[in-house]
Amino acid sequence: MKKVLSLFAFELKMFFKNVTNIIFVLIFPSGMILLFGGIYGNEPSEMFGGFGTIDVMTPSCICLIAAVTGLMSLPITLCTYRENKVLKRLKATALSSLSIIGTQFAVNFLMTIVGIALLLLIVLIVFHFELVGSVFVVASLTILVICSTFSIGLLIASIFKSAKTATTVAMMVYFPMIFLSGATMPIELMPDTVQKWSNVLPLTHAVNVLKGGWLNAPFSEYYVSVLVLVAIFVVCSFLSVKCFKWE
Amino acid sequence: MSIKVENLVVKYGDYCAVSDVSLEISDGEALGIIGKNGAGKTTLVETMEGLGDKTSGSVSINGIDPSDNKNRKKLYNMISVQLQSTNYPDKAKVEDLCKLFSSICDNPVDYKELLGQFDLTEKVNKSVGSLSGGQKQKLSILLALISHPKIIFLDELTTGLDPDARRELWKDLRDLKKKGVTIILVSHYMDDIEMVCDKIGIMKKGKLITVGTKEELIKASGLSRRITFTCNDNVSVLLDKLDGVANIDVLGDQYTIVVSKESAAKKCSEILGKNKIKYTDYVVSRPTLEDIFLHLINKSNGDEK
Repeated sequence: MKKVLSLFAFELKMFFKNVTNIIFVLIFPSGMILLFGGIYGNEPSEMFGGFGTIDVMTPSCICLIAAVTGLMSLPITLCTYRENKVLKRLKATALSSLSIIGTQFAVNFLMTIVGIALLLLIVLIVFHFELVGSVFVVASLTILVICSTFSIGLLIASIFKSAKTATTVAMMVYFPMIFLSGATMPIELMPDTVQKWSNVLPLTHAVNVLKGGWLNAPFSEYYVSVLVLVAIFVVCSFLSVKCFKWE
Repeated sequence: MSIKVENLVVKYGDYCAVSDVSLEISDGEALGIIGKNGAGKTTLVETMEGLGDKTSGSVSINGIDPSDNKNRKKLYNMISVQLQSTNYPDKAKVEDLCKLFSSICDNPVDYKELLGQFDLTEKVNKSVGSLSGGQKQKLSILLALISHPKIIFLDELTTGLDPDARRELWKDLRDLKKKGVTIILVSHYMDDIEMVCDKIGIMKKGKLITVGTKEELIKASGLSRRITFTCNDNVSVLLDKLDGVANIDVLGDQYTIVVSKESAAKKCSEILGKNKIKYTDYVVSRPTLEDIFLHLINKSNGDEK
């Protein structure tokens, strides 16, 4: 365990050395909330069914954080390590294979939580945000969102061999998702056709699920999205375990 | 017996990377493996390190099967590896990597000592990205030594090192050997092998065509003398007929002739003299490892035809 922890400490340090990570996990989501919150405040609006901008945006921003760590940081780090034979070198130590991959998962998981905590701190202090839904439900759904997003990232890392391709794919998955899933702009602002098509994106379901729990919507309104996320998690995890290569 | 490989076969699909290799290495012995690119050296070594899957045959490292996942902990407390081309993350600090590798083994060497030995003490707070190619290579070897290994595998040992650093490293490796560490070395540099290794294995197309000390390889090759001289005329045709010529190599005005018969060395100068050919720097010496290597590799080419 001590060995795994030292790998964890090393990888955590490496995470902080990556400026992109810091910007997109810690600064960007909080900045979005401050910007939109500053413009619209958190007044109840008809467009959001009686909720305010902050109420609706916070769950979306949480998904945004999970998307950065899960779809970008996790697969890109793994692919870069594989390409540079770091994975193989680590495999030639007393560390178990599971702990080498698990550490990457854990570091990104922790940083997602840190990003979310920072975001919540801002909405609590600046906008006096109050959670409508139950803390337990929201926490469980957040974990589901993180796990399913991470499983997509692991699949990207397993399928694409080179770090360059994985980066391109991760970007292609990430950027359309953050705009079309309602994570940056409320999906309610989009034309109907775009709203329909955005259902194809996993992150849309993540946003649906979190919004549902967050705003205390009846489960029947978002259970389909919960099922989609569970299915994504199961299928992607299974496939990445099957396809993963150390070199 | 420290390492025993028996009838090892490694196939990737239809391609046979390692074909029926058997060898034994005793404690504290150093084995050098040479061969052309793609001869299967790295595959062989990585299979011994437990990093690659074998198709058939067996490997035993001090009685342990490296392919068995259950043995990982035992295995990697005993052996250490320097891979052919690991690029540690550019942003990682030298010290962070040293600390990491110290903390993941049971009985680490003081890395500060190793840093001093490898002339990297000043770089301890620098990032990997700021190191030169040779320094990166030294770091990679240093990280392999941290775990206090009994057996160390070094793949492409001195690539990117300056002549001075190579000499230092040869000395360090010989010291390790004296302490009883077993060394398996893969290199394209014959002098690496000659300076460090007791035994030399030559690989070709997945097969280990021969293993032995340098003396044994010389005997096996049948070569006895190497003749070098400088000459501006084209004398290859004249010398081709010489009895016992194994190879004639011409680089500009520099001739290198390897012969299997002791008498050929004398005859060679006679032929040059008879034909009134001007030549200088005529030196007769023992064949080098490179001569033996090239000869054995090409000889077994002939066998296939």
